[in-house]
Amino acid sequence: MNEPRPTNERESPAQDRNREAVQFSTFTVAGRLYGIDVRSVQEVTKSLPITNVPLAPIYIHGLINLRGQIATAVSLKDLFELKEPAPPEFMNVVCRLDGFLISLLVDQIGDVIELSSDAFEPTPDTVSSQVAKFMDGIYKTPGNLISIIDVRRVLEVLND
Amino acid sequence: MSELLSQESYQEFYAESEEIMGRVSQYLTELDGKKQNPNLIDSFYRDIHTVKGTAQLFNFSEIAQIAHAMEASLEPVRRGNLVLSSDWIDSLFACLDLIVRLIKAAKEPSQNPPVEIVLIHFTVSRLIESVVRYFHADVLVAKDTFMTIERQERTSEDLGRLDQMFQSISKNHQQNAPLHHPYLEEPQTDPAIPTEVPMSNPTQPLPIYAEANLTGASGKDDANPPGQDSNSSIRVQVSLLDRLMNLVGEMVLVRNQVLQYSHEHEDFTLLNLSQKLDLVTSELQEEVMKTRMQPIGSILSKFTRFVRELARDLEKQIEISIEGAETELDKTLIEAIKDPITHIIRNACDHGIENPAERRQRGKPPLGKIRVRSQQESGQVVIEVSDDGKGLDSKKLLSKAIEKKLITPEKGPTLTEREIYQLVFLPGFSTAEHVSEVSGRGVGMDVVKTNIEKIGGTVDLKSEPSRGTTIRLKIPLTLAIVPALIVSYQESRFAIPQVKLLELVRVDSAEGQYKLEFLQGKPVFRLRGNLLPLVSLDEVLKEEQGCNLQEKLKNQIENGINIVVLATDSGPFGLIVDEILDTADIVVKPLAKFFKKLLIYSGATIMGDGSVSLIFDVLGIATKANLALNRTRNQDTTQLASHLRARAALESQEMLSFGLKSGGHFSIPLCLVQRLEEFSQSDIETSGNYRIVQYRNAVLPLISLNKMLGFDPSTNEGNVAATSESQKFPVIVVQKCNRLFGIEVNQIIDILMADHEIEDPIHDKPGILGNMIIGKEVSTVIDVLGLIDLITGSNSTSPKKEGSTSGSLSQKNTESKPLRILFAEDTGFFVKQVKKILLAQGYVVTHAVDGEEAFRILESSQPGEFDLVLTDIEMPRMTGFQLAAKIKSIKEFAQIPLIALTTRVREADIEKGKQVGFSRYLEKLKSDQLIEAIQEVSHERTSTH
Repeated sequence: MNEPRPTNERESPAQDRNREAVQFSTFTVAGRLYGIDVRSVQEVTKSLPITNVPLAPIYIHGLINLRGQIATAVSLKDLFELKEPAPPEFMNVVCRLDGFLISLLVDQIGDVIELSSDAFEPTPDTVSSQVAKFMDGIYKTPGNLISIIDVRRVLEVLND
Repeated sequence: MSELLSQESYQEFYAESEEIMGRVSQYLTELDGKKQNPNLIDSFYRDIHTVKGTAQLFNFSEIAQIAHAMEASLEPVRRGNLVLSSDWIDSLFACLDLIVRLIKAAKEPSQNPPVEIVLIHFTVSRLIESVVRYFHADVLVAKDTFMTIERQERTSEDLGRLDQMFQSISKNHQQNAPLHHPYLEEPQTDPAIPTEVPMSNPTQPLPIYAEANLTGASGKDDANPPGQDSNSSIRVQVSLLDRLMNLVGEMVLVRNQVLQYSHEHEDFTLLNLSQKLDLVTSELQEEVMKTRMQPIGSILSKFTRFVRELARDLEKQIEISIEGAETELDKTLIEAIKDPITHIIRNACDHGIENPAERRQRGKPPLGKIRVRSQQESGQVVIEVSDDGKGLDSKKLLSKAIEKKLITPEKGPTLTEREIYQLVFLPGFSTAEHVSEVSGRGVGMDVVKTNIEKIGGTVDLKSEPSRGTTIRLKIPLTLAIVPALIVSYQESRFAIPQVKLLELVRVDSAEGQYKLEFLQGKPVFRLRGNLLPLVSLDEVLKEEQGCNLQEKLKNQIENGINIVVLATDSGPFGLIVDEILDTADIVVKPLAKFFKKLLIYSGATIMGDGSVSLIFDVLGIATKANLALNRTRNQDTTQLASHLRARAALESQEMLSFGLKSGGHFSIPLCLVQRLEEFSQSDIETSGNYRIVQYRNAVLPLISLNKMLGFDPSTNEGNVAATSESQKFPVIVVQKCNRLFGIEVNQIIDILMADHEIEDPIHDKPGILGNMIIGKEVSTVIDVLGLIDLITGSNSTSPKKEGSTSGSLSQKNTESKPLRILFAEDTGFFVKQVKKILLAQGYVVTHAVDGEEAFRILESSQPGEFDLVLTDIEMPRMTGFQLAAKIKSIKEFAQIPLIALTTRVREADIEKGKQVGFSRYLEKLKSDQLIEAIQEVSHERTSTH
């Protein structure tokens, strides 16, 4: 794991430059660390009242009033089909995409960290496909592996 | 010069020119077909002049050229108070179109192809020619100018020559024509000018004069054209208005929250302030909404020209009148209704209005009229498009709907006129290639309907044969804020748009027991005599099924049930909600795409307390509850529903259960019951052996079940009457052979579903069929029809004879091959009864739920598979008569004997039965007669072979 993979070496310099100094908002779901490109995050808020939407899939917890705008609350735990018990309160990572607001419900909010592309690796095959399909890849940090979530992929699954 | 002009000023030029073009084409529309209006000509002239000037400034020489030609051609008109010929107006329109295209091509070169220079020449020369024709002028002059322009010598000299040309033409005309009138003369005193108008098209004799007379001078002609004062208005980006609208929406929400807070707290200052805030916000909201409002005339006025051109193409004479052009609508809605209305008007011209010859034949004036009226009506805009054409031919509509398999042939006669007209809105009703073949009007009317419904509106159609058709559109004023009903279900609140709301009904235990019933576990409600299907939110939101719900509602009825009656295409339905909370104007927020899949939500809104509520999609709920199948599946719902009902009726049977003196439950099939009535003893009269009451202007003989069944030892009626003169008693009204009979009982208990057969049938006791388990109780099933026979003494066959006949008959049967009978009957009770009788005889019985199924079975059978067809008469989809006629019409089946088995035994029916080919026409529940008839008929058949 510590050796850089050949795939990394083959990546074009342009891509490298693009990946340079990307900042990620980190959070935990069921004890695991995830990250999301800070540019797609509008804000992070504490738990807000949720209006349940009957008939919606289980991972859509409902709708949130975010200062007069309506966001769809998606529980990552349910989306990833993790069986861990839910925390008493969720935190909201609110992302704006195609004019719609999606609030990812997570357990805890972490720091915003800057990661360089050297630390990037594609998602290992062993990661459960229910999680892997939402991931761009992973970043290695000292003592931690951060799974990077792509909000667009989450939206695609919702729209399916 | 153009380098000095910024991109922005170009944009400004495009916007202004387009605006002017829109205005100018409206003037032209108004000039068309009317008497001269100097003000209009002046405005037109001024605007065109402005366009010419700015176009020159921005170096758009083609636009300047065309504008100049238009201006020049109008010069004599302006000075001379002339009425433009329609030819002239057409060519002016063509010029306008060209300018609009040139502007578009300059503005967005990538999306609009450049305008060919030849087209410009052609258009300008067409204008010249029309002017020349008007003045009988020398065509050579025009040709000369035409050639000049073709050589592209577009110098100012050239334009000067054009001016001169028009001048000379008009001067020439003035000298030769004595009928010229000065500028200020009253136009009405000028009868001769129109006769001077040369006709380019001989098929349109004098349209201008004729139209002017028919419409009369409307006051609007003299009004100043709008938008005169350029200082009093500014141009604003629509996106800015949209943002303003959104912000006001937010503000309304904050206002609501403040109001709610202030009502919860006894702070008078706060209350006072919040009320002021309320007022100001409401006013602000209204005003901001107005900024987005546009007069509907901005699209309607275009139709004048549209109809003109269409009429010419169709060689018809059509005049369109527009009323209420000033009615205002939200900009987005204006855009949304443009296409549907165009469609409706095109239909009216194409299929509604007849050609002049046809109209004369029908004694109508050759000029067809289309009237478009719009007005505000209780928070909605109503747009009515009516024509005085031939109207819809319901017969043709029907046959077309049948041909397209949208409805079955049997369904046709049962539809009302109005229902038939609604067929044009069915998807697939008509396709473009059938336009001219069929007189029907439904070219893509389903699209009109869908589009109007998309914006929360409704479409209705009325038609009178040979008098015309009227289509009514109801459109909400705005989309962003809608009035809604707030209801609660469990912990959640939901909003229901009031457009779909018909009424609210509350059912409590007192009436609910009779009115709230269950059909196949599905609740229905008797609303003023009509069955209203009910949908519970439990069902919709939790996808819960059947019996659970029945229990729940039964418990709930103690506290009252709230029903929200909602409108759908396939009729109203009732939505059961926990509570009805409030009405409110809600700001609709769109939901993410994936919520659309859930069908039942159309959006969300933020409530006064800041929480989010979902807005129900009424059609979606109906679809979810299987109430609106036709829109999505192209099927006739009523057909399907009746089929489902027929199936349902087979699986279980509704029985009316009642009590008699002896105690215990008694019942009769509900299908035999006409009505339930109450009479008091004082109503009773005696006539011979009968006790009768007067009922609906006729005599209703009463039959006391207590007496008939021997439960009433004191048969002295006088006694009863004496004891309870005023006391009311229930009477079940039953129909037999076209006569009504009243069955006296002690009390009506309930209507229950029985899904069991009659146990231990009793044959020896007259008047009783046997016992049946209904609900949890054993109920004695009364043979009402038999009892009536006993009393009236008609066709009484002795019960003793029955045993012997049937015995001998069944013996005969076993000797040969068993008789195979196809049996069509829709009522479960009779199916079971008759089947039992037949099976006991050793017959093989194949059952069909109605005539159509019976025919299908027969059709797919081997020749000779059935020896006999036994059928009910009154069945959904295909009646017994229709079935018989159909069977007789097919050669290989024509020999199969048919027996009708029915409760409808009138002379006329029997006669009709014979005509369509029934061998026997029998009354239901006469087992011995039935067996005898079957026996005879099958003998007749074998002997003839």
